Amino acid sequence: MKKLLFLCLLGMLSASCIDKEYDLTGIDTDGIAVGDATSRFTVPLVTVTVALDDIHDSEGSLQEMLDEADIWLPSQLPGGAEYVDFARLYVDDAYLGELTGALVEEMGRSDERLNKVADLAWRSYKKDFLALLGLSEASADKTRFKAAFVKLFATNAALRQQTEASARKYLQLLNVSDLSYELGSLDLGEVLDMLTENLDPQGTVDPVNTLSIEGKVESTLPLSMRLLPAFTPTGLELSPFTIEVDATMDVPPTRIYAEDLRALANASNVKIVVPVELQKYYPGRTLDPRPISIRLSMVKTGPLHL
Amino acid sequence: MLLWAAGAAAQNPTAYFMEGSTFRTQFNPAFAPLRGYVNIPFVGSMQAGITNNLPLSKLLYPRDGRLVTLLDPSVSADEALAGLKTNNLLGTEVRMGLIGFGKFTKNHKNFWSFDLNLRTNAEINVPGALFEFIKRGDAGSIRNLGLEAEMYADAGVSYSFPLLGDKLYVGAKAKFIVGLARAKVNFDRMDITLHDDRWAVEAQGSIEANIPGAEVNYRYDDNGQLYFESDDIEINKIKPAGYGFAVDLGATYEILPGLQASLAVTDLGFISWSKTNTVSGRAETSVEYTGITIENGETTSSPDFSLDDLKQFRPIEAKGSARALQASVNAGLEYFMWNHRVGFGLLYQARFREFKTLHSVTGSINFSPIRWFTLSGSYTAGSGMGAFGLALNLCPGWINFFVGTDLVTARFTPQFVPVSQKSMNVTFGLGIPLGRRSHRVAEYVRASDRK
Repeated sequence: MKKLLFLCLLGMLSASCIDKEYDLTGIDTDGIAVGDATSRFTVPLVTVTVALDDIHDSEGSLQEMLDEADIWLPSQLPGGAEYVDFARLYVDDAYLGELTGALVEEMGRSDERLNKVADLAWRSYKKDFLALLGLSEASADKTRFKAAFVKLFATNAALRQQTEASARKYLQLLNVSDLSYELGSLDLGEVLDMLTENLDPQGTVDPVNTLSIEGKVESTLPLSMRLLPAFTPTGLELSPFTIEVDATMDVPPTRIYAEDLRALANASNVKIVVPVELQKYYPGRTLDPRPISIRLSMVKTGPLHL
Repeated sequence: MLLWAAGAAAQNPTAYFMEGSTFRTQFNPAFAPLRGYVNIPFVGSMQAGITNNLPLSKLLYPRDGRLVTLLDPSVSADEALAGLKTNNLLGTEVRMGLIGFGKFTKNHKNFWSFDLNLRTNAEINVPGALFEFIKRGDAGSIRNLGLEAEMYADAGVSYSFPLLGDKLYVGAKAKFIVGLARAKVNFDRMDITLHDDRWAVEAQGSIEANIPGAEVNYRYDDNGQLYFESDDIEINKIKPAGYGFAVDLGATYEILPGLQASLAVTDLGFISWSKTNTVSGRAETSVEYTGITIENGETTSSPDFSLDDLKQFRPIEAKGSARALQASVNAGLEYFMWNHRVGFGLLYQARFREFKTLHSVTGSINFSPIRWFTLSGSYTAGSGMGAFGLALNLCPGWINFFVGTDLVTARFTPQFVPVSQKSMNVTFGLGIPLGRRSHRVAEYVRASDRK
């Protein structure tokens, strides 16, 4: 009997074993995460719907600016171009001369255009033209001003030169103010730690755990613009990007680090400031009252730390 | 993880076909041991077990000298999710016999017994969808994430007797139950959305605790609404929180000489938990993060994302409730040969748990070279099982000793938790035999037993 029991015990011991790799006293739970190295999480950050009235310069709204630009620009752009290239306009005097020359030429053959310019000159540039039209400020009224302008335009070279000069000045100075929006405090709650806890440091070769700001922008404007968004007061600047006309574009990723996001989350009065550079203008198109939507997101690659 | 360490399932299936064992009546009240007995108080009948439907090796992974969970990034999603179920069940049961005794009547065939047991069950259900969400990082639709634990004492009287000229034995056990404590936390629904423009968690859950003398430290949220978290329930003392009743019903039938079929249902009953000892709450939480939206120059929404909201339960009116016990069905077939010295058995078990019903089949070989010594080996397959078992019963004239386990071939952690095995059972019994041997099995009866 004793032998039998001994054999049973021996059999049990030989068939079972302790696996020290599974020591339950040393379970490592620090790295618990959602997803893996191939994961990509997109977290909404800010969505801005830009109203038409948000875009303006010191004088007036974008609608007013473009309405006047449409008057100072010829109906047919030189060379059959579809758009006005603002980048050239600012630096290329010959290009500007082509535009204003075409305007003056059109005014010589089109009463409609001539009247529009005369009307604009009366409204906004009266003082520049009164002497050339033989009128004094006291004696001039709109009817007399316009009649004189139309009558003298074909024969008065000085009037044509002043018209061209006014058009040049306006088109050259055409620009819009920075867009600026108050975000308040960016309370990311527990998302902040989830996004920043395991980021690879700057300089890491082939990083897996990265954080960036990117997004999408939609525009129905007849303008292409270059935007350079920045968050204040943190100084975090995004990579500049261009909004094309009537298009949906990707906002290029700007890699940020834990300290950038923490600074953003800790600031009490965050603003997003977007300097705008006009690039191209397609004259004559109507404007949508909410022409631009910018959606910025934080994109985390690699697992989310829990 | 506490559940793994808590103990080892009640009702070790290896004991089912062991004729000398006093544990057999727990499977089927028509069974009886070979002799009457008195168990040694507190250590006379101890059973502990873990019943899962996935092994520890599916939850923990050794990685470069570390032991990490399947949620660690070093464990790939494919590796972690392979083998996981729709519902992943981790359950533990402990049954401690405080008092137990039984005796044959004068005909040596009718048998009665009484026992008093302390029983604890705990169960966690982790839906596979939760692991899928965590490992893949995709949106998740999680159902029935829950935990239930209960503790109760039962006092039972059983009686079995023959019919049809000893071919049929029927038995019944009536159990009076005192509920000591119970708690259940369950999230019926948890939907996780990770869209580019919206992160959200919507959850519906409930908590119900039947704990005598429990005090709840209620709190107020930012809107002045009352809430509590599970940590806010304080337990001051243990006393009855409910009462119940249950029966075990069973029968054995000798189909042919040496071939016996058996069928039983156990723990068919309920505990009625009293209203005064009940704490109830409901959580309906919607946590959303959408970023900041600016329209017409105005900030129209702000982010607010705190997962702590998911733990907040709003108190609701407590109600008394009757909860069914976790019943089992046991069906067996056994064939004896060589003058009842060798037996082959087949057992089917269905165990009705809170979150899932577990089915298993056990094949068993039993040796009884001498009448007071029985050795059984078994293999159990099915949900919650997959293990070799071994049991030994010694019943000489002065002692009744039983030990059984299915940890025979297991690979263990240093804490003796099986690594690759889905379940573990340890059963131990120590008692003093009473009276003469049963006359139910003719081969076991000695001349002295006929006096």
